[in-house]
Amino acid sequence: MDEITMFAAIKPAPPAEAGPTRQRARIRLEEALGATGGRRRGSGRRPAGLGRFRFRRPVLLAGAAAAVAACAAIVLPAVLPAGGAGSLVTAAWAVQRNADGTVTVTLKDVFDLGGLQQALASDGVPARVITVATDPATYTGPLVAANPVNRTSVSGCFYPAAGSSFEPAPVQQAVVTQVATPAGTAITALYDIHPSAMPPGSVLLIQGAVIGGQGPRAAAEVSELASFPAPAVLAGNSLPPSCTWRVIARFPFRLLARGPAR
Amino acid sequence: MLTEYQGRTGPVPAQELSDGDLIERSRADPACFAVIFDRHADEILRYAHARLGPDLAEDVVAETFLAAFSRRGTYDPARPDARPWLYGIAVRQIGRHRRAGARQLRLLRSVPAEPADEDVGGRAAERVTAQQLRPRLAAVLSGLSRDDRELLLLVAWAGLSYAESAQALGLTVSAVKSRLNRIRTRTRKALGGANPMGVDEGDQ
Repeated sequence: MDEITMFAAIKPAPPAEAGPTRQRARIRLEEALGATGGRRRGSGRRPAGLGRFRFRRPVLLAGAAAAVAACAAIVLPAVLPAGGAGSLVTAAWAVQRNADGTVTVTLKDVFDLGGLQQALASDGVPARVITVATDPATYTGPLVAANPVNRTSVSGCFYPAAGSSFEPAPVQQAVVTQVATPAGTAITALYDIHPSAMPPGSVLLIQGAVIGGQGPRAAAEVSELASFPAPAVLAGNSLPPSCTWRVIARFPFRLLARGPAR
Repeated sequence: MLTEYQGRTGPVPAQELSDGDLIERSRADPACFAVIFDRHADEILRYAHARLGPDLAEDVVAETFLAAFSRRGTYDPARPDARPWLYGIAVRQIGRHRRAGARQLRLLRSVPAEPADEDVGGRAAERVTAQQLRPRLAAVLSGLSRDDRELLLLVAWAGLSYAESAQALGLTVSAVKSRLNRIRTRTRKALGGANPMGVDEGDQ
């Protein structure tokens, strides 16, 4: 027996009944999760004091418990549970209903937005979710027009042209609020949706505009970094025939220089 | 080139996600972190119980996962197993309870050991020998530097590999091996200059 193994042999016996202790510790964690309910996620700040008597009282304990259950049931994201806070999460997107009535949409991969439209609809947000693959050789929109180079920032977003299918800018800005993307994550964009600000009959449009690359690796990088999910509010349930582009928000992009596959 | 991405992803059961994936998701959906708790809380609890006794084990588990939750933004999602990371945090939380830790080391000379499940390869007899050496081993443990003791117990009690221990403590694997060899030498000397079990097993 190795000396190290000898120490293993004198390890104290485990607790006879670990369940209650674990459950109490779990409740503490849920309380802390609940205490972060009103805070932007990914802030990296401590959710609560860590001392034995310094945990915050549960603010959204019920909501946190529901959210925990929702994550544990990721495989069944049919609809959000009725009422209260909750979330649906897939590898490509997430929808979270917040206690204040807003809905937070997280987009990570515009190649796979299937189910997002249904999830939003089930949460009271009428939406059209589409992905448009655009050939970079022919696309003339603002992203490619910005002289694509490695590591640059461009800006662009849907903005209602006069007489277009979009709701006016004040409506857009009241309905969709972009949230700062947590640092260090692969999240493409994070938005808060305010369903109560949507005019009757209007539809939320989320369009993933995909700019292709040349070669698998180039395509992969472009897909992650230059995809362009842009929530906008349509005046009705129809896609706009055309629109103009103006800046209402800035999105960081990294466009790859065109060239042979790297 | 775009077609390769079609249908690439879809709803994935939380149970099938790696710790890294869950922690990454928890940045946008904090509730996902509860799955990490459910996976690893028992193990951290057993370790905390062994290190500090029953009174503080619950505190350490709660503090460990709360600290982990608040630091989840720094976790590398490419690491599929969060155990080393969690143990590293737990070690720091345990370190905040030095008096209790010292008391537990004193009790180690008399508290009952984890029972052997079965006699595999004659190990039961070796365990009996180790039990007989318990006071001297406990004395060695108490005499180690804090850093060496943390490393030894992560390997011996938590069952972490050298690489996992290195990750938990922010060391290199070679540093882990070097320290453990130093501990072996010290232990052997404390036990009379020879391995009472008769066999050295070498590195993992």
